[in-house]
Amino acid sequence: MSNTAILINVIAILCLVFSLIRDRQKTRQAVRAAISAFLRILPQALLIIVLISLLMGFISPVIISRLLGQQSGLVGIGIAAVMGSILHIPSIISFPLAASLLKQGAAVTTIATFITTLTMIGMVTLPLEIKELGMRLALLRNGISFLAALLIGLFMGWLV
Amino acid sequence: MASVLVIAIVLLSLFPDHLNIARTAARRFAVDMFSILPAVMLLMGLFSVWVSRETVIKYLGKSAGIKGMALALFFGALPTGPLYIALPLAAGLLSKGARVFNIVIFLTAWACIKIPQEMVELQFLGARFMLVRLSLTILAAILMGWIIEHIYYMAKEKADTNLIGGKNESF
Repeated sequence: MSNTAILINVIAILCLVFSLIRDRQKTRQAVRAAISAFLRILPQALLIIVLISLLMGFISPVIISRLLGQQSGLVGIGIAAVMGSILHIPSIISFPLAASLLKQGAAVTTIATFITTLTMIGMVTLPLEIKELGMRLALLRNGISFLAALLIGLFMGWLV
Repeated sequence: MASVLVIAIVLLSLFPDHLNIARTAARRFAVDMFSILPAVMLLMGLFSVWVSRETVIKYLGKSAGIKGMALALFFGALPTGPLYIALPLAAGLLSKGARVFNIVIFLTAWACIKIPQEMVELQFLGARFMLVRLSLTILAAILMGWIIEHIYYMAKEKADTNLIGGKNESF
């Protein structure tokens, strides 16, 4: 289990204990709510796992480097944005990847767009987002994040 | 969902050499996800029971103003977890009356401005890259929040007026 996971679990258990001490009835309610929320999310979570395993299985870092490193200009930004939206890489991996791409000569704009869309937008998590936040908010957030990412990428190109 | 599974099975059987990577990735991801998910759900359950609507509205609702913004930003940047963990949290906050603006900031902060992640960024991409991206992202988050909230409530009004019936002139 990662450190974050351990930390979160410890915090959760501590809070649970506090809650139990303060009010049994409320705690029971809380646990019931938690279980129902968990079950509500479960199908989407499983879906995400399947999608991600497909992504990981078929798109290796090599392919990513090749796609992002070569193109530049508007096409590159577009590719970076789309790829960032679809992919779902943990940041621990994506940052070194970005660094090596920069070293190999990729444009700052492209890389910045890639990272921003990577973190802010998730095609893979979209079903869950729609379910949790409602179609309107989910689509709005992702759509405008996309535009924002493009803008951020452009500005980064000028400023860095 | 079923269609995705079918596609997955088809793809994986056509390209068996990818099967192993896919399976390992799936297992790792599943472990990561399920090691956090129950705890987060529990915290959410406790939150929904203990934190009153009034409190949420007071701190994150429409009247909270800049303080609400700062809170949303702070709480978004604090944890480190994948975005999909934040989604139920955001949903819970929304249902208790937080305003869309703050929620957008919260989610954006969670997605991009995770503090530990920034450290990694600092290490690999340099201070300049990281600081510029950080400030741009915060700026973008605020702008986005404002725009999204506007559109969201506009669309909501439109939908509500349509429900009430009859023509509406405003749009």
